[in-house]
Amino acid sequence: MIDIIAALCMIIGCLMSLAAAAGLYRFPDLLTRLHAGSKPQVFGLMMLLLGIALDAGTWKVVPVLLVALILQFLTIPISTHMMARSGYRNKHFRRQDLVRDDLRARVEDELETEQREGVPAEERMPHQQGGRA
Amino acid sequence: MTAVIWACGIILAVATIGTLYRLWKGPTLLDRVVSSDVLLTIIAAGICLLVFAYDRYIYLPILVVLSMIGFISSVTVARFASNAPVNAEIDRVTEVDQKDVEKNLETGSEEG
Repeated sequence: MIDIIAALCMIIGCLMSLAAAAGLYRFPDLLTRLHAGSKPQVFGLMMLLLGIALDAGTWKVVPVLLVALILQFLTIPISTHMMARSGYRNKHFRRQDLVRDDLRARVEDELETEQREGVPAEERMPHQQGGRA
Repeated sequence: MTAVIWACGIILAVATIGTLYRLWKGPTLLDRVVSSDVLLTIIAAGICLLVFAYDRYIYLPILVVLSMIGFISSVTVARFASNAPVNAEIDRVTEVDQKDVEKNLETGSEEG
């Protein structure tokens, strides 16, 4: 019984990778591809590690699996957020697909400040930056 | 159990093909970063499959290393790709450069 559950977990984890590949192949712009690509990195790996833990049948392997899982939980949102931020500011998305865009006013304001002062926002001193989104 | 392992291997192979297509075709640098990140995750899934199939638990720390490598590489590239010009920006930049050149020609100044 527990073997069947472990095998199901492995298959679901691998199917998440397949779903990410289909999303990368089909989706039109960067933000939707990020949405598809983050699925196997968190949920798929969680399922695979659960399958390994169930298949092992001991508690000895669980700490290493937990370290891998927690590290993935901590790092994947940060890297995805950095890529989405960079993609938004480089306009790697289709604006007509967005329903709501709260970041636009702030980014345009920052661009205006940059053009007025002639210094890019990345190089200004921290007290001059205002609120960076 | 062998059938499960074969099925997982075939699924991962098909996923690798789809990801490599985006890595080859991706129109922007960040698309390639996303797809290489997913490729790293597929490699991690392959290592999970190896551990599952042969009970080699000694390979599990590789997963930790792979997640660190993926994090550092994608954050670094995303941080330094944020100043790369895109098409609209290239037009603006060349326009500004053209204006500078014309101004320098008019005033005859050596600077710039």
